[in-house]
Amino acid sequence: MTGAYLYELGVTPYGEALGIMTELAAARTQGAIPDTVMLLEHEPVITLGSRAVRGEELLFAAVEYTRRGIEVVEVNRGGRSTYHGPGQLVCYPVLDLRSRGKDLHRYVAQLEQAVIDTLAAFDLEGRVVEGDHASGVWVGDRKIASIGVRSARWVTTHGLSLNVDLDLEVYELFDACGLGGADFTSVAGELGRPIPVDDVRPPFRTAFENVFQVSFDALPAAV
Amino acid sequence: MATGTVVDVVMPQMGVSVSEGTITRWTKQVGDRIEADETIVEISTDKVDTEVPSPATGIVREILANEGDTVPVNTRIAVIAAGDGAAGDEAPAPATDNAEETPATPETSQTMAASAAPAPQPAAPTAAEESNGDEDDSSGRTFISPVVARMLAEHGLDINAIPGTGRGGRVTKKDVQAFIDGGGQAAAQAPPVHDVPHFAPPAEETVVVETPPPAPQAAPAPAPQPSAPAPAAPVAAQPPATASDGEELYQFNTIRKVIARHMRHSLDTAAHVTTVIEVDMTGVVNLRRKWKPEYQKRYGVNLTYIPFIARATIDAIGSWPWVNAEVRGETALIKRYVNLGMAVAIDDAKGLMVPVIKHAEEMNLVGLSRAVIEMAEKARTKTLSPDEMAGGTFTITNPGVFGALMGTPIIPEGQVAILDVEAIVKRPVVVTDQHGNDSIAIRHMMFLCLSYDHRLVDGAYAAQFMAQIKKSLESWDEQAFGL
Repeated sequence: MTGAYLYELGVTPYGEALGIMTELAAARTQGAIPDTVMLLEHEPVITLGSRAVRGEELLFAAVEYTRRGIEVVEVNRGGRSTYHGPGQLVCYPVLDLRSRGKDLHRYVAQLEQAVIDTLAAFDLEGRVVEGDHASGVWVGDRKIASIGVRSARWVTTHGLSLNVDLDLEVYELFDACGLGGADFTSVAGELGRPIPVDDVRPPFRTAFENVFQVSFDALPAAV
Repeated sequence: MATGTVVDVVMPQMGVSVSEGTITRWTKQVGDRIEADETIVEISTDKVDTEVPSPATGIVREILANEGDTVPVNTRIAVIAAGDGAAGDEAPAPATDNAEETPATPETSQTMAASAAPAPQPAAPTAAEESNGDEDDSSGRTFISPVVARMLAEHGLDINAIPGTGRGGRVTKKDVQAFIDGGGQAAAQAPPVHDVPHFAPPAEETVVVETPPPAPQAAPAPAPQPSAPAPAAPVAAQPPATASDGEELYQFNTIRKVIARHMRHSLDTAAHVTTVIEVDMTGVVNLRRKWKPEYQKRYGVNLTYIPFIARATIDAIGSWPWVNAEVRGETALIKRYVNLGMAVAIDDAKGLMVPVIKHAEEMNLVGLSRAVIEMAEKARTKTLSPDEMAGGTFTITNPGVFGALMGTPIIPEGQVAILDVEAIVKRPVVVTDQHGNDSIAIRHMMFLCLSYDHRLVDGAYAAQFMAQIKKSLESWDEQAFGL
């Protein structure tokens, strides 16, 4: 069990969170801070990862997304396209994998496990699906969490998003993950009742601590 | 240059169960200097992107895998000539030599440019940009980082005119910026020297609107301008434009510059003629409708019209091979294989790439479908290797997807014909039955427009070539081409 910082934020614009994450990663790379995990929600944004094919996954002109209040951003993480917005729990772990066996696939599997354990707290059964572009967690054949990760010098950035309670129609505005119209779901959708993101944070924190064998401290304001 | 230690860069093991990785992007090119731990390449697996740091300080000597290549773990992907001391100091030495010569040569470089610039025309649009830089380390050329190369190209600067303050007199990004800020744009009158490597990979070209360069007061005289040959440097030869209210300044990015140069050059060389033929696609439309689910299910490919048209075209080339040729002076090289170029719009239709499907004559509809999808995706994601854009013998372009009805495309250099596929639209047409009775029917109609080089191909030849494509499409032979 090692210590790690937990940095909890509310609904944060994508660019702002990305800036914080980048600074944390730089500090982590230099050994200035221990492993640090960001937990937050985003304002509505569609992000295109390095494997996204803009022309195929964005079904409308950029202005259409703007009109709906959704930002479109290209980011340097793995994976294809995804949506973030209020009602979705986003987790960006900035971890140094050199002390964790230098195994990126194991890391991705651990992220998936943390989500599966979180879902179990709500009596939902999450599972992993094998195949290209399928990284994430599914309930039945509906995708509930997406994963897109980058690492540099074994320090990780980006991470995962778990749909808690949001209007799933947004997934019809683009070809999420290049999956060609796969169904998306949320914790609320599976439970059949509304649920605030703040109710999912505690079980997620616990699940993350258990899977990654860390114990969280709040990030000191000074960092 | 002294042969120091040579250090291999290998595809790293990113996890116990990970056996291979894909090259996403080289951040350094052959000839670039790199520090230990500086990122040399970005790789990806299904789920994760990773930056790979250099194992040593030195000069990148070899790059052995292209962007988009997937290679097994521990495969050698690059070689670094390590040189912290001796070799490192020696390498940039030629740069110093160049710098010392500069004062004597500015005029020369201006007047020489006229004859020097038009000469080397890269064969394929982006081959030049992604070229790994064939220069021998010992050729005495200045090492130029990608950033500097891009700045030079964008501002049309001659590196020899810029004083270098970097190691061994190397010109750094700061030097170029200082030169531009200091009104050094005067040198922009000279077209870029031909050996400025266009290292910047297209992926880095997303920011195209740059601050306009300072106004050209420093430009010495309009005199050199008329003598500057337009085809050589269409961008740099003009005085820099400034945008007024209601206008927007767009600096040509690398892809745009290459397109501009090739289009102009092709029109200046080939004797362009265009012939149009109308094809009744109703049969193909029905076949596609019938086969589409099957293709999706059995092969996982989305069946479009292009593979049908490509297949019919390749077949017709067999009978009319002169459209699949290259004119060199007063000889023509007739190709017996078909390397099919596919024009693909990229960057929201503000750019164009032409990936090439090698030996398309060996492919059936499924193979062509796969190749077309793969190449289009690679073009859009800018992961094509130079090799995948070179060697085309015949090209198909498809503005029809946007509803265009007719066009007169420009023939790619090194080829003699390009087929323009137009929109399929329902039209009332006169059809004649087997008894000779005419009636009006609603049919799916499409124009095919062929631009060809009249130096080699005459109208009657082209028309018969097209007639055969028409015939194949109107009476699709499932046995010969089919599923």
